[in-house]
Amino acid sequence: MKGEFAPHLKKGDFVIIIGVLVLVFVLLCFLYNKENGAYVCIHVDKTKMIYPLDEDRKIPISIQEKTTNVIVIKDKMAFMETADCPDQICVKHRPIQKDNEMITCLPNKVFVEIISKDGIDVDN
Amino acid sequence: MNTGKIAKTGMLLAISLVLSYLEMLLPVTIAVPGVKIGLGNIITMFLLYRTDLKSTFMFVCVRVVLAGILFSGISGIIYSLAGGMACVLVMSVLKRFSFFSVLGVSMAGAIAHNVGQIVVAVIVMENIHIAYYLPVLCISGVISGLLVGYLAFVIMKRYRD
Repeated sequence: MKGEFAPHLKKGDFVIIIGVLVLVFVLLCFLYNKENGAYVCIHVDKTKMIYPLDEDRKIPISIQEKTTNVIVIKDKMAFMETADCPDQICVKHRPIQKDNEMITCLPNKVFVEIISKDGIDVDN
Repeated sequence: MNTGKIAKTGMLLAISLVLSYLEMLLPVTIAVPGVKIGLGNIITMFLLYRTDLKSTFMFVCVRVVLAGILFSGISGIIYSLAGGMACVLVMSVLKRFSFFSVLGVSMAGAIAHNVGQIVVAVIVMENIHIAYYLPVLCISGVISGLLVGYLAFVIMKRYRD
């Protein structure tokens, strides 16, 4: 390892790189059905709320009596309009509409996910 | 632990905290929360290759807790701890095999770190769908692993204890 100008890539490294690429390819194929979803499922901490995508709606999320996130359903897509988290990744995320797509606000533990009719198992 | 070791470890801890701070200043968050360069792994690898496993584990624990208190938030400590433990574990195993170079060890460490964080996040949030971020995080693990591995190599070469 020492005594060279730069480390050389060994066989094991390529195994890792190629393994990851294959794994990612497989995961992407199976995890993302690229069809438009029918509902939005919003997880806040341990509660789940489900709304249909075809009705425009504004959904404020409150945690401890403070509105922390605002989720908007518009034109069959869902996005995070505002959030009080420091990184704002959730707000910058582009609107989601396809099955299994997801926007997360980790600091506030808010998850917004597109699901199809089969994904529903709870009355709402 | 003799005083020399205490002093050196303390210095490395300070350096790794500065690196964590630097990472916070330059957010490389592309698509997904949790994407980061992981410069702290440079120090972790340095310790892995130069000292024993137990010291490295202890170091990572202390560093994660301190960095959490100082920078990222106490609630985030549990994820970084899981990631850090997984990272050190995987790297300590892989480095025994000459099949992998420093770069491979570092890539595997970065990937293990991300996987560890995701697993804990899935358990804590009781939401399996967080796993959808795995593909992106694995790719970022490979890239950051290569970078960090290269830097660690350069530093280990230049700093002969």
